[in-house]
Amino acid sequence: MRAEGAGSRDRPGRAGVVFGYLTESANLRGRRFLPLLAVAVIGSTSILSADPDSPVRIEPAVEVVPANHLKFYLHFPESMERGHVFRYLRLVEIDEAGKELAEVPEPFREVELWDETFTRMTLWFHPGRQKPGVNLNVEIGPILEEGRRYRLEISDEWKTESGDHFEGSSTHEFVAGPLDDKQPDPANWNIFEITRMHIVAVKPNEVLDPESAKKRIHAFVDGEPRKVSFVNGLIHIDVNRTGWKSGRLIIDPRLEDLAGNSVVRPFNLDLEADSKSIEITDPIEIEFTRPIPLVSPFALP
Amino acid sequence: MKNAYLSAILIAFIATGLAAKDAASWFENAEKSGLELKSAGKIAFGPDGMLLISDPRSASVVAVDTGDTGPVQKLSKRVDDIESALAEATGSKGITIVDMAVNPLSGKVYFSVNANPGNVPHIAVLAADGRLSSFTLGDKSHVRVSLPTSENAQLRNVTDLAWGKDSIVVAGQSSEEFANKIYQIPAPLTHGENADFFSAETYHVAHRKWETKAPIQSFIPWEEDGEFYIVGAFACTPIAKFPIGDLESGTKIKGTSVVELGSGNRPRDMFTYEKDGEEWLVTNTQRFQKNLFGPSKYWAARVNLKYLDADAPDEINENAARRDINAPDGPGAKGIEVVESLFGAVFVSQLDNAEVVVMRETDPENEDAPHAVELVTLP
Repeated sequence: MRAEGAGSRDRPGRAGVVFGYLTESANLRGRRFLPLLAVAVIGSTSILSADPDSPVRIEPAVEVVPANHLKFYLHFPESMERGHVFRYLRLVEIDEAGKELAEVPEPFREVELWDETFTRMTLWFHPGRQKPGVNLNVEIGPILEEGRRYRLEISDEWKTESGDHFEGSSTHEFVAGPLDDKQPDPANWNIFEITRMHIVAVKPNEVLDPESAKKRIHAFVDGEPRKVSFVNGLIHIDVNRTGWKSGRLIIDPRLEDLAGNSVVRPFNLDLEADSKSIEITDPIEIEFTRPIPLVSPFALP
Repeated sequence: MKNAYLSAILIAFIATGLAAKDAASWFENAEKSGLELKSAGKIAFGPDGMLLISDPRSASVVAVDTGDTGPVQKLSKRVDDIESALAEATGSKGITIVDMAVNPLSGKVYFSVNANPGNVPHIAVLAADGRLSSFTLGDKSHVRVSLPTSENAQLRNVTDLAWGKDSIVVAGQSSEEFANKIYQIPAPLTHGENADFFSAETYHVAHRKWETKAPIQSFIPWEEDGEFYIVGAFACTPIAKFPIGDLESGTKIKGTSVVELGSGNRPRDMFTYEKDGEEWLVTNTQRFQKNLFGPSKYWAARVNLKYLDADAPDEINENAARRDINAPDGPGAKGIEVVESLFGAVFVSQLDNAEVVVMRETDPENEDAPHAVELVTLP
């Protein structure tokens, strides 16, 4: 497969695909980025398939989260009862076979944060335990430790707003990966077109917080706003026709990754130690013009 | 809930010859009837019997003229099992208490509750004789102010609200990012979206990092040398002050941490009082772990208000005063003391300078045990 366009060059990717990457700049303020039509290997993000028996959808649905991961989103099919929800939530460490090794004590920041329909709850790990080197992290340790496997459990005792129970508990297993102190860096996002689907896909340099991404990323194609969706770690822009010419991705720098690092600044910025760091406050624009690299829908990263 | 402007409210009440205005005089183009809550959130009292109710589902704050302007009749007895009494008053199988606020003009205690099943929002009132009743909203003059929609999504999770400097001040927290905003809704209060908003940043002394997104858990309005601040407590209890008096809407503001109470506590309510010539800021908190210095995870500290004057580099942020865990009270505590009478306090709301209404645990070992409501005299 070839990436199309003047100046492009090809190199086989790990999954047999090629893609373009974007220019990088030390100062992102107000900059527009044009995709360089060079080619590199697409990194992989391990995505769990949704559990068809689970009544609750849990995001991010990735198998590996950074050890300083901050939050999950619990999507319920109905509005839920509120007020004492943390009694229905457990985090346990498990072995490879899924056997419970120990319950993780006091992992959650016990503040209920709901959307307007009370069908989506944001479940925070306690930030004081997840930040390396800070008080609770030092005193009682982090919630997640790199290399260990965990299971988030949602009890079926939790009632819906109408007083009903879902059948069966919901669980989500994941592994803690290395700590993430990197910021989302649009200069290193890869952009390509999925063949025959009228979709332009963007692969960020790391896994983004799914709800922050929905709020902070907007797309335009040939000047028209386009629907943006997030599929298996990729940003999908629905170009909606074959003859499109150019597009733009506008990124609010408050966009966060799974560890709370935003484009603006890392989550754990120490201003004294990092006094030269640049805060990005203006929206970032990524422009792309056909032709861009093509990727088969059967060979997506 | 607390109201740091309690004294101002009471003074205004007295200065007008005990002829209190009605709360509707703070409104413009108020609706006279038809108020329905979509959800029950945090509550607080403003002037002249004005009840402030956050309604998370509609991302709004409602100001209601309760008509409840006194005279003060204090709660005469402890009310045990407030949950059962509220369920009976609201005609429901069970309830979840969202918040509690005492009206300083009448002594009546208001509750914001979700009735189950259905999470049906209710406001209920506890009278001095211990009787509870559902508070009818539908015939009350009111205004509903929407929180700003200007940044793609509203911060509908209101962690606290209060009346200060002739305005409603609201702390809202994002569900998607570790961020919060402070809204100010100036009087005259009117329907629609007319709140100013500010970003908030604070230096979290326990973390020795800049906390650009430390959500405010609880706060009080505060004036000092003509400047209008809010004094806020954050998830791990540094007490910080934010100037908001002269800022343009949308301005990013950074807080100054002035006191550190210790890590692992979640602040709940704040208020101030004066006794024996000393002024105190009280915050009750929920400890993250088992409490090693008292009978409950719910505990409170009082901080001498002199600490809020701190502004020198060696007094603030990483150098802010810290609670001495070996000196819970007395001279050795240096003005940062544990308040014994507030152990177990889940909600604290200030009636006057000497007394607070407390909803407290009856069995700290059993989270399903009913709670009790009583009047507590401050130390």
